[in-house]
Amino acid sequence: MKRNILLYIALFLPFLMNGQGVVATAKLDTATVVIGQPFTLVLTITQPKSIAINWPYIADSIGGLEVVQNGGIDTLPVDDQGILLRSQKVTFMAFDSGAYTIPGFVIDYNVKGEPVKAYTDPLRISVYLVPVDTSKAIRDIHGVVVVPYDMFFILLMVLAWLVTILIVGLVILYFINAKKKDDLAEVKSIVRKPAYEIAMTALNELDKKQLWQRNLVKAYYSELTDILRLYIQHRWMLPAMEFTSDEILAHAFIHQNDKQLQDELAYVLRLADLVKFAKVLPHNSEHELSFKNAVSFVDKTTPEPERNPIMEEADNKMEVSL
Amino acid sequence: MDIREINEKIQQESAFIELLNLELGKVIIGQKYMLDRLLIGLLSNGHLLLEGVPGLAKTLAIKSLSSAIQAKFSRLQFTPDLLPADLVGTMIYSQKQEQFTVRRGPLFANFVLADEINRAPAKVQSALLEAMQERQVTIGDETFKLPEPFLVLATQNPIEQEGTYPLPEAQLDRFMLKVTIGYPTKEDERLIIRQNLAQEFPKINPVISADTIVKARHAVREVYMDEKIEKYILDIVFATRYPKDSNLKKIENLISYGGSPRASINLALAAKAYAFIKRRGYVIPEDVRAICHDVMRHRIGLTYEAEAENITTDEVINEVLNIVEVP
Repeated sequence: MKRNILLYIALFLPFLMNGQGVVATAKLDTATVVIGQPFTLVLTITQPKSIAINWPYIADSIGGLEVVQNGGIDTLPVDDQGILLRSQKVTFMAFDSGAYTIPGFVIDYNVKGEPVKAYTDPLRISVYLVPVDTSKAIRDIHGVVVVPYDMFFILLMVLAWLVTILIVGLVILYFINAKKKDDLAEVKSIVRKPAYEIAMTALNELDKKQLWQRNLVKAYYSELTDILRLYIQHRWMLPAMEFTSDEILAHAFIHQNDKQLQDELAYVLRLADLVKFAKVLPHNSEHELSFKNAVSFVDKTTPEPERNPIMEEADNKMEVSL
Repeated sequence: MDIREINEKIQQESAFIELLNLELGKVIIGQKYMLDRLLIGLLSNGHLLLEGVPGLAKTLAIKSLSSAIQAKFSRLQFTPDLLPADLVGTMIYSQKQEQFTVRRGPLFANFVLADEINRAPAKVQSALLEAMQERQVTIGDETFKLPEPFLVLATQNPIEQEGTYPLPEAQLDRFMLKVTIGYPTKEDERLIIRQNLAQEFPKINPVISADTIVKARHAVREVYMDEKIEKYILDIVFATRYPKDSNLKKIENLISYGGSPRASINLALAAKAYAFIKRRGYVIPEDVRAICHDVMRHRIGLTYEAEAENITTDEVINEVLNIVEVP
């Protein structure tokens, strides 16, 4: 329909036009709308190519109507004689009911230096309220849009869920394994050999190595003091491996023992320090005495049940049987 | 040299320590820790950075030490308007001689107290630290050697940080020891009050000469250090650099950088000096541990996490010492 109108205008325009004049028309696509319904105005100007016109300014709202879309100016040559057909589409919307008037547009141009004006007719449009059927229940303007099932999307979702479940399962498994390892570590610490047994075994092995007899005096004292330090660490739960000799001898645990025992330990540690750090070479008898003192310290600081666990077990059995 | 000979030599060379301590003890009450560190710095040719609140006898200690050693002492109060020339000296034009002559600055002394070093701008700090490192000063075209022994005792106030120029890490590293001193004990403070009220300030007599110190420095270098001790020192320093490798995951996030090779050198040297003070010809792990905090505390950088949790470098060093096995 709109095309036909434009075509008629284009065909008859050369006859209608007076010499070199400009013809402007404005048309609405409807005369009645409901609130919020968009409607379009088409402003058409036919002009000779040689004439420059001032295209009317389209404001944000005209005559109480809101401009929601302002289309660009479209230019079309009509014939070879230099006649142009130019048009602009403007979409309006009204948000209140009533009758509205769009005032006519004024087109300014000059002919041979004289200012001339072309006008369009004012346009009327009626805006009505949306008829409400109160007998019916309130409903949505639009119903819920149902998305059609897509097999690819469904497969993707299933895959995503499976991956998520797999990750969660792996994380749970990791924590369960870590917990098991901790439990095992606890069990290991529980079944560790008694401090006395560890120390005595190490002392026996040191004795068998015959280090000082092979002139490996420094190594001998290093091992001897390490055994004692480790024993103290196990027995009193102290970080004795990181203690210096002075710190060990000044610690409270040492003062719980009798003076002779303290002196014996001090003798070993002090002599070992001299050997290890001051290149001192003690007499053979001092090596033997150091070893003897170390054994004595371990022996005397171990409670009786730990020293003879088998005997203790046997005693317990006897008591039970009695 | 045999260890017995070294031991005997050290026993002889270190005989003056007791004498010096007795003389200093006449005026300095308590602060044994600070005096020991002063001697370590003096004997190992290092410089000290002292951190403590005002009024803890820092000036008195170094002044007394210089008097006891018969050495020249000068004190420099660092202020924001101080210039490098105020420290090292400058060229003065003599109208009489019609030429420039050198006027040496207060840095030309055996003992220099750089009071509140962080109050002076970076260029002054840098001039001092350069002189400390090079032990010489250039004024105009001439280079002058600083006197021997040359010990700088710089002080910092842990409070009132406004308007100060904190020493950069690279410059802090030039101080052999950073000593943190605390308040005296109640008993010591009572004696201080009595001494002050009675206006009885014993005079410090020179008990040794500067040459004795220079000689003692050579003896300190001869103190025997076993490979095991060397390894222990390296273990400590490396634990600060790579905590994870030393089973120190706990403090891994607290350290931004660990001790430099200068830390290892100074820890070894300070341990030797400590053994010398204890009149021993060999180093034991106790010596390393005794001096470790003072050598390391300004050489470990803490992360923001550590600072946010108010964790100090001393706590980090404690953790390291608790993990590194003693030989």
